[in-house]
Amino acid sequence: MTGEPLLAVHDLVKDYRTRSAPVRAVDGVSFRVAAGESFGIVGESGSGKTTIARMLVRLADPTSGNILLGGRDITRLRPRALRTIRPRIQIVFQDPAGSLNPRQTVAQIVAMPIRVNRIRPPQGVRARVRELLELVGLSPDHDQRYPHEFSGGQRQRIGIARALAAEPGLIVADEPVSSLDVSVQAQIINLLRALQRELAVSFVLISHDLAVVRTLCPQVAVMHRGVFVEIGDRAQIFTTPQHPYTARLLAAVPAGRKLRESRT
Amino acid sequence: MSARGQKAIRRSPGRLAWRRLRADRTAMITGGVTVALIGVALAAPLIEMRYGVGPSDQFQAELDDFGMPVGPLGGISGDHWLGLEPGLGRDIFIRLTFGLRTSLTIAIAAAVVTTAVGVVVGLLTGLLGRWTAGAVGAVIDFALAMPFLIVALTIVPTLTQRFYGPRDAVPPSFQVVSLVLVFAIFGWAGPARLVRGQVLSIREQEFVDAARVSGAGPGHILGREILPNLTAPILVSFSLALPAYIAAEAGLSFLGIGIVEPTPDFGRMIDRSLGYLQTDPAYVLIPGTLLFVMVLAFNMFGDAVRDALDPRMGSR
Amino acid sequence: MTGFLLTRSARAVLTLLVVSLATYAMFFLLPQDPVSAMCPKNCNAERLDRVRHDLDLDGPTIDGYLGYMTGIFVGRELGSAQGGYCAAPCLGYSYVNNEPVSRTIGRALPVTLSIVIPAAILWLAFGLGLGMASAWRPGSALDRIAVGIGLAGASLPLYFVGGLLLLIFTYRLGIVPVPHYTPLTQNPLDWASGLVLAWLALAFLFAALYARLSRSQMLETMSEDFIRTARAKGLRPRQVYGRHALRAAITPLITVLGLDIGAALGGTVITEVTFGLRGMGRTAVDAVHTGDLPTIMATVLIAATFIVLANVVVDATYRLVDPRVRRQ
Repeated sequence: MTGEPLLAVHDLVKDYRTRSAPVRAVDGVSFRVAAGESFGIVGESGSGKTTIARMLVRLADPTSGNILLGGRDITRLRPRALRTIRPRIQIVFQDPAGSLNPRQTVAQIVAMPIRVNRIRPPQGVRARVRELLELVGLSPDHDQRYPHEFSGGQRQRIGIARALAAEPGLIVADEPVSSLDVSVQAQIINLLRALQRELAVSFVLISHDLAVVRTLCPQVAVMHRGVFVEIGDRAQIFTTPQHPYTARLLAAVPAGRKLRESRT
Repeated sequence: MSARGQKAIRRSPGRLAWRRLRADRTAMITGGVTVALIGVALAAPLIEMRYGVGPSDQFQAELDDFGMPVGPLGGISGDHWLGLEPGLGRDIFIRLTFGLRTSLTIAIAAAVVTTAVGVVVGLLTGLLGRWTAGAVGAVIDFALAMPFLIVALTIVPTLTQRFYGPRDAVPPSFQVVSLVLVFAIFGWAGPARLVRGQVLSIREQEFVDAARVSGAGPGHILGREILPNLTAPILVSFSLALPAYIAAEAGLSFLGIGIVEPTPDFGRMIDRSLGYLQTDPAYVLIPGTLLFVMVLAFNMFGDAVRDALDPRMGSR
Repeated sequence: MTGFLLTRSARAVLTLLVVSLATYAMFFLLPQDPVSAMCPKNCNAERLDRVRHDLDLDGPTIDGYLGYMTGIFVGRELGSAQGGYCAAPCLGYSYVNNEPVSRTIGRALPVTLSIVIPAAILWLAFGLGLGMASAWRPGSALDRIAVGIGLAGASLPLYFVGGLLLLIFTYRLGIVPVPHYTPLTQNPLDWASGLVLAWLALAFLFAALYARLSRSQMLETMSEDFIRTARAKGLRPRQVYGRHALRAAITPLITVLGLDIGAALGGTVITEVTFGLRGMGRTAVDAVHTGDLPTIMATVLIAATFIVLANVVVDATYRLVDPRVRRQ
């Protein structure tokens, strides 16, 4: 897989102004994501990973650094131009409840990116929405229902369907399963893996949960206090962590212990 | 595998709220009373025709030598269902009916205007930058700092004197408009603050972010994401405003600057009746009780609407 | 905190300036000449001119305004007919009452204070007490009664309640004298008996509102997680309710109380008119009816000052009490 990476991030920095000194949430982060591949970012809460997610989809503006999508610098695009490239990089939020407008039907929610970007699916918007719902494992007959009628896991699927509706090449998933029951988490992870395979969509998967990241992402970065302390392919990171923080992270997790135990 | 018949039941938040309201017996009763009162107000001229007595008709022949009504409870009889006024001998029932009409017209107009203006201002300050918010905030401070009654007392006669000489009869329509205007000048600030707070909190919600990431422009975000989530607070604001304006209008009339003679009005009637407190208490009690019932019904219905829109346990 | 107080006070002063300007301007919208309106009785042309000159109204209107405003802070020279030099705070001279306005206010303000402050204590105690008692057991008989009282108070006009109280206690039963004002220092018992009906009427209305508010606040607080934690820790339910829940629920009540008192101090117009007490509100109403500009200005300014002051105090207290609002 050569040529332009789908996503290239150079030296991303984000400062927040507070009453006292400015806080540096992200301090010079760089990585690349190849088309069709997924990239994982692991870290505790407060490490700055959500800030990266928001910067990637331009919900927050970087203080310095560059984001290149398909070779094009999107870091400082004005709103008009930004809107034309927006469909190419979408986001799935952590909280399934808050990310869906309670006053809209599922059909309206999922159709929104289609309408807003004036995409004209050959089978019509309604049919396309039903198709998307089916794709994420929901019954298309429920398209006239409201978010409160669904469970947490189902709502997260709706969010994923909405992200897919814009036909993006890249989806940023910010803690996509953290709010869900453990049993449901596995289902959603499997869904993401299937989508990755069938649609060749890339993910930037952000999570505090190592197991989640390990399943989906061949390339992983470990984030601590605004910087990547370690970055590389998953096999190497999970079996031979170089940085002491990574080692601590792995040690704290039962899965991590199992991994090491399986080696000795 | 779900039945197609499910489509018939739309479980939108609005529909659910309506169903909760229907299930609440108190809400249905007070709602019925409210509707009935509005109906009576609208039908006042028709009632006058059927009843046969007008609000300005005087029946001084039916008063005794002291100008007091003859008969129980201030002169209640088959001809005069709620008795007669002492002094002028006007029929209380028909005057109350027309007074109802005036009160509700003013209250509804004031509630609509203040809520509408408040919503627009609240939206603008909630969405636009901090500079506008600061400027409008200062205006709101000013509007809320002015002592309402005293300033109203000054504005209304000023307006009247501007257009009419001291001896001219002021048409009721002018009085109504000037009262609504006075309410509007002060009343928009409350809803504006409320709506602004709501807009600010809705803006923080992730589904607004989701719309932005999907590529939605400001028009879509305002119209499809924010506004639909404002209908509940707007309804609540309106339902709070109505009984407040009914009471406020009666209060202004009580002080002598609301609706003036000869147009019938609750507040003025009670003001006049206090002079007859000892001699003809029915004259005080009847309009007072009716005013109380009216405001109570609107308040209770408003409470029920609020509960239906935002159900919480135990706060019935 | 000091920074906040400074900006807030600056805003308050600005608001008051605008209020004063607006009130002054409003009076000049009247089609008749304000000076002749102020001096209705024995005023011939010569006297009118003198009055006009004394009040700085013979020049541009803005001079009159500035003259009035500076007089408040440093005092100013009025004509000999008005007693010569008027010391700060000079609120002008009322031709209708034939005395300096500050003297009128000096008589009216204690009346309003005597009405509002005891009533406020009453309504806070009863409102809070009733609200807490009813939220303790929602749905109980006490709760229903409390809700009923709350609704009644929110729906009854004060003049109606006042009229009823007068009818029952003064005229039919004769236990209470006709409402009047005696200074507290002169005769406390008479002071109280002259005002008690006003206290009851005002307190009833506000207590009902506060009962409603405190009830819904307590109910909301009781459903929060930290209450469950307190109960789980084994604290006695009454303690949990009385101390922990109350502490959380009380902030909005204090806010509303502050604002209500601020507004009421400006003049409880309807109460004073209903009971025939000559407080700030009554003075203002009379001034409007007689076109007495200086008195109108004074009463509006004082009322607005109370409101604005109350706002600042409430905002400051909020920042002190609510840890979430406090900045580091």
